[in-house]
Parts: sequence; C-alpha cells; structure tokens
Amino acid sequence: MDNQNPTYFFLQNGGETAEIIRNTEWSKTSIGRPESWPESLKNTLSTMLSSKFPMFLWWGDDLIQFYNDSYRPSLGNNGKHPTAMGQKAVDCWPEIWDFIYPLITKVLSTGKSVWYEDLLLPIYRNGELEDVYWTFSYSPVRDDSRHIKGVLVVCNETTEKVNYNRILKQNKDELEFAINAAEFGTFDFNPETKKFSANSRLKEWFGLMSDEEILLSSATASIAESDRQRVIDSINLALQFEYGGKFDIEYSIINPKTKVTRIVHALGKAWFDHTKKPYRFNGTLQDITSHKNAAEELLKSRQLTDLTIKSMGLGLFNVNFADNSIDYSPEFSMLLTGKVKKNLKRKDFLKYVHPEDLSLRAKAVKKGINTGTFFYTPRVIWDDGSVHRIAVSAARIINSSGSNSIFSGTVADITVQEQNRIALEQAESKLQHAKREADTLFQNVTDSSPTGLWLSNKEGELTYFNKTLIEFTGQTGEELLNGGWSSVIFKEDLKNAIISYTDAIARRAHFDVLFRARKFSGEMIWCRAAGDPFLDADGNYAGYAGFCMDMDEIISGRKAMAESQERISLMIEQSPVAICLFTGSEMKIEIANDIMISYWGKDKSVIGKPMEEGVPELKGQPFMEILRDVYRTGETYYGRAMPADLNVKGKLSTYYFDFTYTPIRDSKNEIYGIMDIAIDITDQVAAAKKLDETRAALAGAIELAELATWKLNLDTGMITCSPRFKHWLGLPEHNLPKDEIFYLIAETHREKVIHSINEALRPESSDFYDYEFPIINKITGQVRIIHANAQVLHNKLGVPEYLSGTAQDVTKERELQEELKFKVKERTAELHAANTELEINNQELKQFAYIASHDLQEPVRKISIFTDMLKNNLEKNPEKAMTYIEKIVGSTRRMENLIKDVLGFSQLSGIAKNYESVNLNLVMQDILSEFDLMIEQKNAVIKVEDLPVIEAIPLQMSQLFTNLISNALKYSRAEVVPYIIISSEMLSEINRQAIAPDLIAGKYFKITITDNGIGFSQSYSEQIFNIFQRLHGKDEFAGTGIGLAMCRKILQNHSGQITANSMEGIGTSFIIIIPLYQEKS
Amino acid sequence: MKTVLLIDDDAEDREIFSDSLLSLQLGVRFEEAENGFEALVKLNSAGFKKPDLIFVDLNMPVMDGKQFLILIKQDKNLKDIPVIIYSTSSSLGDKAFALEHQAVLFMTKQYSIIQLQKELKQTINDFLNL
Repeated sequence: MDNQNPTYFFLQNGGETAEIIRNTEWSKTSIGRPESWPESLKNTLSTMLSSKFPMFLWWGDDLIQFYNDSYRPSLGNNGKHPTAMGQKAVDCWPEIWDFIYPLITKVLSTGKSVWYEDLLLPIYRNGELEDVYWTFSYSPVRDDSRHIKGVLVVCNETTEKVNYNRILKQNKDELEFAINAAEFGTFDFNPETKKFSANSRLKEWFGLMSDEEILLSSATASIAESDRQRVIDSINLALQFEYGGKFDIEYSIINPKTKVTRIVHALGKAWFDHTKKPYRFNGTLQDITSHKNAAEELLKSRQLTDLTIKSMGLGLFNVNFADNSIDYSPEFSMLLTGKVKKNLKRKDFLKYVHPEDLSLRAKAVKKGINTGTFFYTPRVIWDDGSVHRIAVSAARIINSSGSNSIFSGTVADITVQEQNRIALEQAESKLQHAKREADTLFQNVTDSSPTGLWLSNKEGELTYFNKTLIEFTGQTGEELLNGGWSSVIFKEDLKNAIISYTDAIARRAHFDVLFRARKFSGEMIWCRAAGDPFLDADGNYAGYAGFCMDMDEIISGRKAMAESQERISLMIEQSPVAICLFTGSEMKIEIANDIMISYWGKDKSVIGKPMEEGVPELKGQPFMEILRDVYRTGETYYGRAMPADLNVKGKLSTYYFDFTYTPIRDSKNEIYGIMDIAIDITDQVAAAKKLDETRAALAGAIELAELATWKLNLDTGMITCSPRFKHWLGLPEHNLPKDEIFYLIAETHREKVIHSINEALRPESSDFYDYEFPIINKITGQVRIIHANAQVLHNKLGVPEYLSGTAQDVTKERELQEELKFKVKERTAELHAANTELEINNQELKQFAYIASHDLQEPVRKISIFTDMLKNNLEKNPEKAMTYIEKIVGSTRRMENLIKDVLGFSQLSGIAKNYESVNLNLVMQDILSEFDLMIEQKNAVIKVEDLPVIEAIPLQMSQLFTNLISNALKYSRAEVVPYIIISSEMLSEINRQAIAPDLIAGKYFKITITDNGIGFSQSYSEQIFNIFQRLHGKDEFAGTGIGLAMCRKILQNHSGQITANSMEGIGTSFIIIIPLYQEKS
Repeated sequence: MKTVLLIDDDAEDREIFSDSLLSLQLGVRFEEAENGFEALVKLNSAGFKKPDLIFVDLNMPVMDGKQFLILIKQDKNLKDIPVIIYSTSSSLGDKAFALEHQAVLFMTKQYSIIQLQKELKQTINDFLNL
C-alpha cells in the first residue's frame, strides 16, 4: 500500500474505482506516482471518474489502465476487477488483444477516433468466456505537450439491448404487420377507469378524437342503436370471470361525423387478477362490412328463391319471436284463413290453428328456437269453417342485425296431398285385403267387395267379374266375359296391359299393370290390375285371380308432385345465382342450373349422377363431409370464402365460394335433399390476396431497401419511428416528441428541415416532402446522411393528420459523391493546367515557327548576300571584301547564338524536372565570376545579399540569373556607373497573396535584381517576356530576344513568377517569386 | 529626282538595299529611317523632302511596319505615297494585312544580290515611271 497518496483533486466524486486508484502503488508502474502525472491525464481521470457513462482509459507506452464505476459491472464478478486497474492492457485482455491492439495503435498513430456499434467481443468474466456486445469509441488523449499519450474508451455494453431488440423487433414487426395487413382496429380497455385506448383505425371508425384515453360510453354511442345494448351486455359478460372473459360479437357502428356505417366483428379477451377481478380487456375489431354485404347478397338470392317458391302457391313468412312481429305474403294469409288479409298480428293467425294442433305447434317452435329449424303440419279452420291441413317449415335467418330470433319459412296447403296419402294408404290396405281374399276365392268371392275382382281360366280367358267391375264399366257380365273389358282400356295402354298379362300367364308369374280406362260415367281414370296364378283343390294350375282398382287419385297425386318438381327445376334453372339440388345420402345431383354447372366446369351430363361422380375432383375436399352433416343434422351450413379445387376447361384451379347448404324436406318433414346456393367470389378473394401480397411485397421492399419509416402525428407532435430509424438515431423509445428528434438533426440543417416540413403542411403545398440531411446518433454521435421522403395524410375532413414517410441512409452514396466531386475537381484542375501548358506550348510553337521564318533566316540571308558582294568586290576592292567577310562572320556568330538559345529555351519544357536543393549564393558566385571581364569593363558595382537555399533545378537557376545579370549589364547607361543589387526576403502569406495571387499557398522567397540601367516604359513590362521581343534595334544592343522568355519559362517550371518594374532612364527591377519547396507530383 | 525611303532597323539590310539601288544607277535618291516612328518624324519635318516610294520592314522595335502603315494611311499629306512592305516574312497573314492596309507591294527580302537588284529595278520602274 502506498499510504502516502494524498487526496488528489481528480479522485473526488470517483466512488469505488477512485478509491482503488488512490490505493494503487503507481510507483511500480511505468507511469509513476500521481504527482508526476501530466495535467491532461489528471483532468481526463477527473472527468471519467465523475461520469455515469462507462469509460476506460489506456495511458502511456505500456497502456496502463483506468476505468470508472460505471464501467466496473462490465468486468463481471470473478473477472478482471479490480486487478484491471493499473494493469497493462496486454495483460488484461489476452482474449481480445488481437482485435483491440490494432485499434489502439491506429488511434495512437493517426490521432483519429474509431467507433463500433453493437460489436460482439466475448470477454472473460463471471468465471467464463461470455458473448458480450459493445458500442464503443476509442478517442486519442494528448498529454500536456499535445502528444497523443492515451486512448479513452467510452463504451456501453449492449448485450441485453441487442438480444432484447432482436426478439422485440421480430415480435413487434410480426404483430404490427399482421394487424396492419388485416386492417384491424385494436382496443385496450381498462375496466377500472372505464377508459380505453385504441389505434387510429378504430378511432376513425368510431369517429373519436385522437385523445390518449377514451371513455367507453363515448364509443358505444357510435354503435347502431339496435345493437348497442347487446354489445354492452356482451362486454359486461366478458368482464365476468365466470364467463371465461371471451368477447365475440358482430355489430354495426355509425361514424357520427361521416355517417359511414360499418359492420364489425369484435374479438376480445379480458384478463383477470387472482381475485377474479378484470384488469385488462383488449382485442381487435375487423371491418366485415364487405363480408356482410356478400352474405346479404346471398340472402337476397335466397329471397329470390322465396319469390319463386311463392309463385308455386306457397305462403311465405318472417317471424320474430323476440317481438312477436310477423311479415307474410298474401298466400300465407290465404292458406291460413282462406282469405287475403293484411296487417294481421301473429296472435291473430294463432286463432286459425285447429285447437287440437296448438300443442303440436308450440312443441315445434320450441324445438326450432333451439335447433334453428322447425316443421309441423297443423290443421287450420278457415273463416268458412272448412278444415285444411298445412305444412309449416321455417329456419333461422342470419341478418346483419345479429338477432337470432328471426325465422323465415313457408306454409303449404297439404290437404290434397294428405288426402292422396290417405287414399293411397287405404288402397294399399284394400289391396292387401283383396289378396288375402283371393286365397280363398272359391268360397269368398262376393259382390260386396269394394274392389273389382276377376278370375280367368288356364288360358287366361276371363271367367268372372264381380259387381264392382260391372258397375265400373257399365257392361253386363256377359259382355265383359266376351272380351268387352278390352274396350274400356285406353287404346295406348291396351297393348302394354295385354303383353304384361299374357307374359305373366306364360311364366305363371305375378303381374301388376297400370292402364287408363274409361268409366261408365265417361271419365277416364287410371287403373291398376294385378293377378297371380291359383291352383285347384288338387294343387294343379287352374287359372288367374286378381283385382282391378281405381288408381286415379293416387296417380294424379304423383303427377302433381312430379309437376311441382319440374317447376322447382325450372325455377332453379332460371335463377340468376348458382343453385343445385342434391338428393339422397349419396348426394345425387338432381337439378343444377347452368351457372352451377359452369362453376363446376362440367356439362348437363352430371345431372343424375352422385356428386362425387359428377364432380370427381371434389372428392377429398370438405364439401361431401359438410353435405352429409347437413343431411344428417338438418342444419343449414353457411360457407364463406371457401376454396374449392375444380377442374374447369381441363385445368385444376382453386376457386372461392360463398354458399349455403339448405336441407330440403318433404311433406313428412323428412330431409330428402340439400339445396346448394353458391356465389363465386374468386375474384374478390384474389383481389384481397393480391392486396396482401402487395403489402407483403411493400414490407419486403422496405426491408430490402433498408428503409426506415417514421410518422409524425400532427395532433400530438409525437414521432413514431421504425426500429431501424430508432437505431439510427440511438433513441430510447419508438415514440418521442418531435423536438427531441429534431434535436438530432445536424445543427446546420435543423432549421431548414423544420421549415420544409412546415412548408409541406401548408394547404397550398404539394403535401410532399423530400429532403436530405445529416442526423446524429444520440448515443454514439455517429453521423448519417439520410434522405427523407414524406407525404401528408389527411383525415376524412381534409385536415392534415400525419406526416408519414421513409428515410434512407445515403451516407455512403454522399461520401462517394463528395469524393467523386473532389476527384472531378482535381482532374478538372489538372486538365486546366494541362490545357494552359498546352496553350503556352502552342504559343511557343508559333513563335518558334516565326523565328524559323524570320530571325533564323536573317543571318542566313545576310551570309548569302554578303557572299555575293564578297565575290563582286574580291578583286576590284579587296578592302571592301574584307568588311563583307567580317559581316559574314558576324552573321554566323549571331546564328550560332540564336541556335544555342533556341535549343536552350526548348529544353526548358518537356524535360523531367529533377529538383535539388540549390544554394543560390553559390550559383550567384559562379555567374559573377563568368561576368568578371564585363564587370571590370563597365566598372559595374554588384551587391549580392544573402540568398536562400531552395529546391530547384540547378542548371535553370544558373540560366535564370545569368540572363538577368547579363541584361542588367548590357542595358546599362553609358553615363553612370552600373549598379546592380540582388536582394532576397522570405514572403509572408499576406504579401504573397498581394503580389502573386495566382500562386498556390506556401512558403516563397522574393528575389529582386535591381539596376540603374536604361530602363523601359512600364507599358512594355509584360511584352519583354515574349520570345524574340526586342525593345531596341539590333544594332543598339546585341541579343537574341530569347533571354527573358527563358526566365519566365524557368519560373513557370518552378511554380513561381517573374515580373518587371521599370522606368526609362532610371532603371529596372526584376522581381522573382519562387517557392522554397517544390511540390512532388 | 525621285526619292525612295527605306525604313528598317537592320543597318546591314539598309546598306545592302542602298548599295543595290545605287548600283542600278536609276537616278533615284535614297533616304533611310530605323523604325516607323523615326520615319514619321522625318516625314513630318519641314526640311524633309517627301519620298516618292516607301519601303518598310515589318519587324522593328519602337514602331513596327504595320503600325507605320496604319498611321501613314491616315495622314492626309502622306497617304498617297505608295508603300511597299520589305520584310523577311513571307507569311500569308502579313501579306493579307499589307493588302488590307493599301500597301502596293509585298517584297520578301532576297538571298541573292542579283535577284534583289532585278526586283528593285522592276519595282522602281513600275511605281516611279522611270
């Protein structure tokens, strides 16, 4: 223990870790005792230790560690704490050293921060290697002399957040998506406060304001009056523990503002605490208006059927057992009372029911309320006193009001059928009776039998007719026996009757034949004749005995039934909706209209076949099972949007149907068939599916594009962010006040963004908002550039309600663009420079061409001419000839100089520029020694100040100063002592900008060569630098006109400049601005 | 006696020109100036006899041949004197300039004294009607 550690200021407010720092023996570490620590370290520690944010510091060459209390939990139990304090980083973090060491080195060497978000860095703690996620930044810390000496780590363990977010995101996304996709309204009711919260969709349906909490009573006010109490009761039931807390109801709501009516299906669940008290009740509402409309359509089509039934002489009625109201068709009244009466009440009709059948009725109705259908056949006593038997058949109907006490049904007069039935029964029993009698015919044949009886011999010749038959035909016994019986049989039926008879006799078999016969009264009736062979006492075949009876009543009854079936079939065939009738337990397709057949994709041949044979692809699909159930239970089945795979036009596809299977009963109330009414809603289902798919695709697209979404509620000023947007912004919540989010927009853009949002909200604007700006992550400080798009959403009244939009991270694109822009700029500058150089080169080339045609020609021409003249004078005037020779020599020398200079000049451009450190003092010494003779001749005084050492091409520096000194000496005034001063000074940036604004910033020297020579007009100060520009006649001053052009070229080569100040008769100053260093290119 | 003025900064060229001209013995007087400016000064001085024909070099310091041509054509008293360009140049641009500014002839300096004499004789004959 280093007990001498006093209370250091930077260890105040530091908690546990400060205490450890205080007690650490720092003298044993490479950073030594705290007294010797630099101020910056102490300041950093002070900040760190008082921060509630987890922080960590590495300091010095050994990367000695410090951390604060907030960081401490990340080290875990049984881990690195407290040994990590004062430890060398390499000793502390072996498991992640390979990862963090390069980062630390990078920060230390570049001085730039690095950061990572939710990075997995497993560390050893709590006795094991744990997967730990971190969001952290490494920043450089400088010591008192501004050298980077440490790395500060600001970090945050995000393990929990990462795990939690992963799960939460999944769940929430799925739920939100499901709710949105299904267009559910959601509610959450607090039974204690009687208030609930709801999503905006539900609020819109109920016409509620977007308040936080809503009183239940304000919502129930929007429920259709007829449904309101039922809903309230349902809610109250759901809130009772004993009822299981379930809520499942359909009702209508009417938006109080827009008056839009919706039918909704509400599903909910109440949650109870241990005292069985409800504490929460939440659920969803689904808009099923369109479903209901489909159901209503089905209902309508059923009503149409009813209409057809009505035309078959059936009475129709709708009865509501809840309020005893009844609607009925005129036929109904006719069948019950014998008259068409209007405005009768239900109890009025009850008066007509036969008193003996009232109990029958009560029993049937009671059963009906339980099972949904009822049937009974009471007698009614008409006003005229006549008794009629009717069949009453009804089923519960589902209508949009949701009431379950309404029944709809038919009544039919079954008196005739009843009578027929009774007649048939009597006839059958008579037949039985007759057959019994025939057995003992020999003894018991009497004329008193009500049935016609006859006997024949072995050959079938009739031998006996009883009295009934004689009365029936009006013929005598004699006449009948002599073949008269055949004359009463209707001709068309005679042949068949005789064949049946003779055929039976030949086979000694029973026969039974129907034929029409004319009664004595002239009436044509249906007769049934049947007979069996009989034996004599010896047991030998003796002939036939049989009966013949009037079947007219029975046959007519059957025919009427067949006719009515035909009418049903006609009705079905002409129906605008698909209808078919299945009969029997095998579901024979009895009747099916063209629409139904087209749904099946079949033809008329299916009629008469069992369903599974006619539409074989339905085998294995649920329909057969349902049909059987309906057949068995008698309960109507309502199918909604059910898929059916049907083979239509040779292609097996899925179609969707709304349909009803209604059991059909005969007059005995036995189910004999099922009426199938169907509507093809494949298109609607397909549309709904497509919508779902589009939504899914949209969600997919949003995910793929890595879009974040957000929504500003203009009422509340809250912004809701998608998980991605929240992550970008580093927000603690999804839902935050807009100002908190605006605060995270980079300050440079904040005002503009707010302004443009307000612009988009102005009524005359396009409602569309499109903007790009940087955002700053609240936690990590990371800057992202996002491209935000938004659209104003209005409520039904046209008032802006939301600004909803997407955001895209375009940081990388923008960075690339910036880089590209920069590169383009750079390249443009390069191109520009190249162009300029090319232009200069072009200019030089032109001047070269000029010299080729002019200045170089001049000495050649002279030599040529003087040679001519030399020839002419060689003999007659040798003295003169001599001068020509001198002139030729002079021209030759001029040409030589010219060629040399041109070469020198041309070498200034295009050759690789090898810059070296050049001491200009030495260069000047060499030059002056070359001009020694001339200086002596002219008595010139040359003063050279201290010149700099610069980076330059040595030869060109020599050429530059040679030309300038040579000019200064050449253009001296004869009358004064030539005086030349060469001075130099370092140029400040401000002066550089003033003198040479075209040059790039940097260190420059200004070198001035001043003479007191002849000077020139300042107006020529630029012209003189042009190649072959001479201000003086060739005879006054020798020269090629290239020197100054060379000087300018040399300074171009060195990124400098040369200018001249001059005054005629006073002198000239050449001012050179030349950089200290040459840029490496 | 007709006078010919030569404006040329090159002393040797002036010498060659005058030698050639005088050797032709056409009875023509020779005057010279070193540049356009000096020539204008001379032409405007009281004692100087106006020349009948002017030869002018193009490339000269102080005032070159082109500037001289422009100025003399603006001078009421001098503009009628025919001016002949006498230059090393044979560039089309210079020839076009000369024509445009009413020079009567563009003579390129010759490489042979015989050729020069021949051209001078022809020119003097043409413009001085000797």
